[in-house]
Amino acid sequence: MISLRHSTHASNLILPEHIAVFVDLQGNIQSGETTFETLTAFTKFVESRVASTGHPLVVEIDAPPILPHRQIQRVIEACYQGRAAAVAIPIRKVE
Amino acid sequence: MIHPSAFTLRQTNFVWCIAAVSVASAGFALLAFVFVQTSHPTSASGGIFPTLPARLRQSKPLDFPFEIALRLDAHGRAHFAGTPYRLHQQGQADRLRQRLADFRAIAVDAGSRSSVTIIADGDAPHGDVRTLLSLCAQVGIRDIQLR
Repeated sequence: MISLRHSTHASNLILPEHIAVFVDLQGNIQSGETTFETLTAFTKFVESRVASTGHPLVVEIDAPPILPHRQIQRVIEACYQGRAAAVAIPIRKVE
Repeated sequence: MIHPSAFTLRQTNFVWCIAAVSVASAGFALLAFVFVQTSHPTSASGGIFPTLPARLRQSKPLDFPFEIALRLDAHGRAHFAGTPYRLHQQGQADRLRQRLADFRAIAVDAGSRSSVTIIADGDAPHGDVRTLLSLCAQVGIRDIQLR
């Protein structure tokens, strides 16, 4: 087995960083212990994460099923304004 | 003494001779130009624009994915090519899944990628969006854009 840590090629890999956020019914965005009450604050948070790591950032957005899609659209736009590389939405299995 | 009419006849013959030589020279020059162009070493297939075929041979065909837009309204209906499917009714969700599978199969047969763009109404519940994303993922469509 090749350990990436000791591989000479490991330094060339650019692994995306991944954060998960949750949008509640009030439209607040939660990431871990932090709650962002405005989209501007969340955008700055994404910008700072991208700037600090230098790696592509993937934001996973979870939300209650009854939340209007408009709220998700606002969060997606905020992610891309903060220079996130991609946005992911977890899916549930359809029986 | 030369008669004036004789002089005029000789002058006319001289002019015709010059014109014939000029036309022959121009024709020869044109043939020489075409020969040089077609025998250029970089032009294997010939032609007077020798660099164009070589560039065409180096070009690669553009890869256009098979694309389709799914419109999701606020009442749980996904519209595929104008046909509405209710996501909350099992039979219609299954038919939509089958249509997505057929769409992907066509793209695979054509050696192309399949791409789906979901245009969701702002009032559509997030759960319906996830259901639609799940249907796409189940049939193997990975290139999904959400609006």
